[in-house]
Amino acid sequence: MLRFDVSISYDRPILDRAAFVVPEGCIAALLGKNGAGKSTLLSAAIGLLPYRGEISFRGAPLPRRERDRAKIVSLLPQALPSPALSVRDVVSFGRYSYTTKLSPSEWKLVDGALERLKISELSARLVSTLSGGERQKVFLASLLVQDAPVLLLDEPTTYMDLAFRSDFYRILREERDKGKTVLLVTHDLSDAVAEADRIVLLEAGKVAFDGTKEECLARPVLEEAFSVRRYLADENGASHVFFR
Amino acid sequence: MTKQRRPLTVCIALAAFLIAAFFSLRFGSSSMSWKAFLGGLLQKEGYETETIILCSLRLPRMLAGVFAGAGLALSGSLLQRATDNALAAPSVLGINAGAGFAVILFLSLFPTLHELLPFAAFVGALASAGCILGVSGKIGLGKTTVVLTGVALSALFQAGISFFSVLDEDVLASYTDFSVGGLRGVTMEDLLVPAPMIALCLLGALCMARPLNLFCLGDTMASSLGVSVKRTRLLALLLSAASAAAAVSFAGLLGFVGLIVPHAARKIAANDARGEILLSALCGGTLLLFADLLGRVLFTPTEIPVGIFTAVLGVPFFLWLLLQRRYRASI
Repeated sequence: MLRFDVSISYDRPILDRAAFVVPEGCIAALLGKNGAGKSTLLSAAIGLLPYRGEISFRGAPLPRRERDRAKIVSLLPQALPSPALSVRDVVSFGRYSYTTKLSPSEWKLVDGALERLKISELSARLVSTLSGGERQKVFLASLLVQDAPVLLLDEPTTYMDLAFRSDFYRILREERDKGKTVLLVTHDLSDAVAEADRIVLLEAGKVAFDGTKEECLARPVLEEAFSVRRYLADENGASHVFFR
Repeated sequence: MTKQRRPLTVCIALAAFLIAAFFSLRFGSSSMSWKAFLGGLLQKEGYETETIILCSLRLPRMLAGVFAGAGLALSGSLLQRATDNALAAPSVLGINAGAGFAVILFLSLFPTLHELLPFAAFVGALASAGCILGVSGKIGLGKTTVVLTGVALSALFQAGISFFSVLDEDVLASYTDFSVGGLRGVTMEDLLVPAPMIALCLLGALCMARPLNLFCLGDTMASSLGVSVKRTRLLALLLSAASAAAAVSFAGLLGFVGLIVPHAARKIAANDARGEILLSALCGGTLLLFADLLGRVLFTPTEIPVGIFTAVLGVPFFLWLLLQRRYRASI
């Protein structure tokens, strides 16, 4: 179980005892308006920002040592870099916390991740020459190679085309089914209720809602928080919820 | 740089370094035959003058060029990696200016103690780096903070240098030699402390090449992958400062080496930090040896300080880099 109970403040409080849990083997969507503290929370989880309180996994606080922490928590940040390094090299960085030199089996892991993301043909290309969507795939591959039990994703679908978006969510579900804990920051409420098992809503630095998707949809939680309306669409017997 | 072409380019860089080192010994303001050169080098009887020229003048000078070039380029490479800023260099971030300020302050206070100037330069460079780290560390040691603090402190030290220059013209005259930079008159004794220090910094930098490699992914990504961003940045800046301080202590304020050489090295090493660090040291030494050689032989018997030639060679290269960047941005 991934547990947050953190307060972070700069010149003003960003997070004020934001407390919630994400069970293992679960996809949780972290929602909130701009400036609600979602990305700040993720930065704190990877040890980049100091915080008061505790972030723990399986009952133990996350390690202070970065390498040990990286074996538990991995992050796909919102702003992705474009280094002049080959795609394969960048994906291999996912193994940084495990080894100083990648073994043949680890290189297989790297190539496997490239194949899974369908970017094997980009392997030798420089990341700096890729499009935003391609870069997102590269860093997602690196995240998979890192193989941490907790995956934090900060608006991962920003540059993704619709075709890859469904692949991306399929990969997330596969990772969840393997027992990974996924915390997904997104502004797409429709994607959140479609793909997540749990919804966490941050408002003014506090947790305004924390519950299952069904509990969230039973009440007008998101409608009130984001001033939107909920629509229901039926397609081949399956109903889809979306917000406008 | 493609992976196929990289070994060839590394071999060319190594060959250029060896040629530069050999030329630095072979040629100078006084010419000598091959026989006299070999006789002097092997310290044979009858070649005492050549022995003195080669072993007491040219050899220390050659080693000074190698270590000063390596030290400054290494410093620039570490700064550029640690701040993820292509314009970072000891001359830009105030490390050189700190050394210059310490030297001019020392000359004003103790105008006769010229033999202690390298020590003053060393202390000044380190103190300047300490100030940069102290101030930027207070606000999180972010890469932009480090650069801005360095640039601001550089301006402050430059103002201090101008102040003392205006106060005393004799001090200005003594300071000019140091500020232009040069390898003239460097002895083996002058290198006893700085050379091993630069070698140690190079070793330390190579040990931290792996986390430095991940710095190009940005602080968030590097931290997420397990890099201790603050500790690595702090260590890189300390090694960079020590390396530059050691180099300026005997070679003066040589500009551009720390700025341009890492760019060339990065291009050859295809952005790999370990390769870049090693090649920076190698190419830094090569550039300085060639610049010094030109300074010695082009206008014989007048000797032009090496600092002038590093700038002459460096500026066109730097402008070329700028044009390339503009070109990349436009496509």
